[in-house]
Amino acid sequence: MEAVIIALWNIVANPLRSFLTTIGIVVGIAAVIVVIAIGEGNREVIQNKIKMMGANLLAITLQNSEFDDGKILAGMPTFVDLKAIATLEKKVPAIEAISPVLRINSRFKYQSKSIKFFINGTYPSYQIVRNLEVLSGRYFSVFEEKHKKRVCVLSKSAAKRLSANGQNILNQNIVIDGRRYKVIGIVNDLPPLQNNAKPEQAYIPYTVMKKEWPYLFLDTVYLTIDKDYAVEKSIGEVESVLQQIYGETSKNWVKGMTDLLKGEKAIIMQTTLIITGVASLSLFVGGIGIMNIMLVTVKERTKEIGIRKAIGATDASILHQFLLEGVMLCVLGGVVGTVFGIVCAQVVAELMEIPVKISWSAIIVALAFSSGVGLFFSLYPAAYASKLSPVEALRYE
Amino acid sequence: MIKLENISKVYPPKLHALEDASLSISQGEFVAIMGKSGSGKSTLMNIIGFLDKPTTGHMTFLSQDVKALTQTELANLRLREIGFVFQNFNLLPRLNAWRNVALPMAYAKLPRQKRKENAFQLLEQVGLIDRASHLPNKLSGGERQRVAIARALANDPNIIIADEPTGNLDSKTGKNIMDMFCQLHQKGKTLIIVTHDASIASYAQRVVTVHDGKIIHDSQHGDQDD
Ligand SMILES: Nc1ncnc2c1ncn2[C@@H]1O[C@H](COP(=O)(O)OP(=O)(O)O)[C@@H](O)[C@H]1O
Ligand SMILES: [Mg+2]
Repeated sequence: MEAVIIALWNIVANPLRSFLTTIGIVVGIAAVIVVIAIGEGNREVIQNKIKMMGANLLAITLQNSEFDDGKILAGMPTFVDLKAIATLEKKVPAIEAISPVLRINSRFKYQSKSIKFFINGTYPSYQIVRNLEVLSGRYFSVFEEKHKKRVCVLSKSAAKRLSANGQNILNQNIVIDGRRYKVIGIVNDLPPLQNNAKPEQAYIPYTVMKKEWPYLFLDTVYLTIDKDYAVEKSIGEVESVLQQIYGETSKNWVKGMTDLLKGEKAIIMQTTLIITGVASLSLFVGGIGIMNIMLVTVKERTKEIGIRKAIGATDASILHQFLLEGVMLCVLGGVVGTVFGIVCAQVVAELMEIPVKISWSAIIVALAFSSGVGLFFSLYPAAYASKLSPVEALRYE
Repeated sequence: MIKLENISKVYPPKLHALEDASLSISQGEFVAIMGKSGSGKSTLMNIIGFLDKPTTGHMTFLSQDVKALTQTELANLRLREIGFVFQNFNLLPRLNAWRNVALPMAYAKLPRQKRKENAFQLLEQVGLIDRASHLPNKLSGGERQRVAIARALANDPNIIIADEPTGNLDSKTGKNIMDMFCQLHQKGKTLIIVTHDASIASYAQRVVTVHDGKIIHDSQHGDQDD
C-alpha cells in the first residue's frame, strides 16, 4: 500500500509529463471499452431477439437475409413448392409447425387512411411458427385458408396506424390493393429480424395471396422445431429431405437463427475490428511512451537507485518499485480512459445507431489491460534499473 | 571479521584503483583510512561495504567467501551489517528526515509503526527530533549528515563505513560529527572512516594509509614497503 502511494507520488511529481505519457493509454483503453460495449450490447440484443423469436425457428430461403424484399433471382430458380412442404411435414417428425410466406408491399385503405406496408400470405400454422400472440379476435383458420376467404390479421402497429383506436378496426372491412378484406384479428408486433424491418404487418391466407398476386414467387418457408428435438440435428434432417427432392442446389437453403442474424453481426464485427485496431495501435504506442518515460525516470533517478542499493535494497525491490510505478501510471491512464470510453460508447451508440452496453466486466477488463500494458512496457526499464551497479549509480550526477 | 587478501580493482582499460591490498578488520575497531584524493580510498571502502566487487583477490566476512555470495545476499549484508555515511550525505531529496531514516527499515520489512518509532528515536539520538519532518534541502550540512548517521544506524548494523563524512562540513560541525562517531565506537560499533584530515585521524585507534592504490602504512603493523 505504502509502495503504491510512493509510486503515485513519483508520478504526481511530474504531472504534465505523466499526463502526456498516458494519452496513448487513455485512447487505447477508451477504445477497449467501446469495443466491449458494442460487443456486449450486440450480444444482448441478439440474445433478446433469439429469446423473443425462439431459438427453434428455421427458415428455408433462397435469400441471403430475410428482408431482401422478395427480389427474385435471375430466371426461375428451383425452390420449395407446397408439395415439398407437405413432404417435409410428413418425413421430419421434429417439425412443430411449417408455413410458406409470400410477401409484398401493398396499399391499405380504411376510412380516410391510406398507408403502405407489408402483407404476408401464410398458412394458419404461421401463428405458431412465429409465435404470434393474438391480442383480439383470432388468426385465420385452415378452412378459411383452404377456401380462399378474404380475411386479414393485422399487427398491433398496423391496426394503430390504420385507425386512431386499434380496437375499432376489428371486424371492419379494409381495402388492400383494391380488394376488400375483413379484419378478423390483431396480433402483437414481431421483433424485427433486421433493424430496418417495420412493425406494421398484415397476414392473409396463402391461397388468397397466391390468387391476387399470382406472379409472386415463393422464396421463404418458416418452420419451428419441436422442443423435444435438438435444433442442430433437426436442421440436418430437413436438409437431407430437401436434398432428396432438389439435390445439391438446396445445400444452403436452411438457415437457423444464428444465420438469420449474421448480416447484422457482420456489420458489428467490422466496427469492432476497426476499433480493436485502434485500441491495439494506441495501446502499443502508449506502451512505448510508457517505456520511454520510465527509461527517462530511471536515468534521472540513477543516484536514488544507488543510494537505495547502498542502504540495502535488493535488485528485486528496485525492480518492483519501477514496475509498480509503470503500472500505476498506466492504471491512472486506464481510469481516465475508462471514463472517456464510456462517454465515447454513448456517442457511438447515438451516431451509428448500434446498441452498446457498459458492464463492470468491461471496466475490469480495461483496467486489467492497462496494468498489463504498464507491466509489459516497464519490464525493460525496471530490469535495467535493478541491474545498475550500486557504485556506478552513486557516482552518477 | 572482515578480511581482504591481495585485493585489486582495475577499471578498464588499465586503471589500477586498488593494487594487492590486504587488510583485516576486527570487531569493534576504529580504523581511519587516509590518503590523497584519487589514491583509492573510496574504492577500498566500497569493497569493504559490499557495494563493489574486487577484480582479483580474496575477501571474507565472518569467514564466508564474499565472492560466493549472490546479489541478494550482498544486499542483505548491506542492509543488516553495514551503515553507510557519505561525504555528500546522499539523502533522498523527496523524503523528509524521518522517512529517510526509516527507509532501510522498510527494506528490512519492519512494521510501519515500528519504523516510525525507531526513526524518531534515532533522530532524537542525533539531536534532530525537531527537524523530523523537514526535507533535506531545508536542513544545514551538519544536520543532513546527522540524518545520514541516523539512517546508517537504522537496522542497528555492526559496522559503520563513513567516506569522508566531514568533507563537506566546516571544521566546527565536522568535529561535532566526529564526536558522534566516537560515541558510536564507544557503544561497540566497528568504525571505518575515510579522511585526509590528520586531526580527524587522531580520533582513530588505527590508521591505514593508501597511496596510488596500495596500502603503504598500517599503524597496527608498522610501516610496509611495497
Ligand atoms: N567507476 C570508476 N570508473 C573509472 N575509474 C574510477 C572509477 N571509480 C574510481 N575510479 C578511479 O580510481 C581511482 C581511485 O578512486 P577513488 O577510490 O575514488 O579515490 P579516493 O576516494 O581516494 O579519492 C581514481 O583515479 C578514480 O578516478
Ligand atoms: Mg573518495
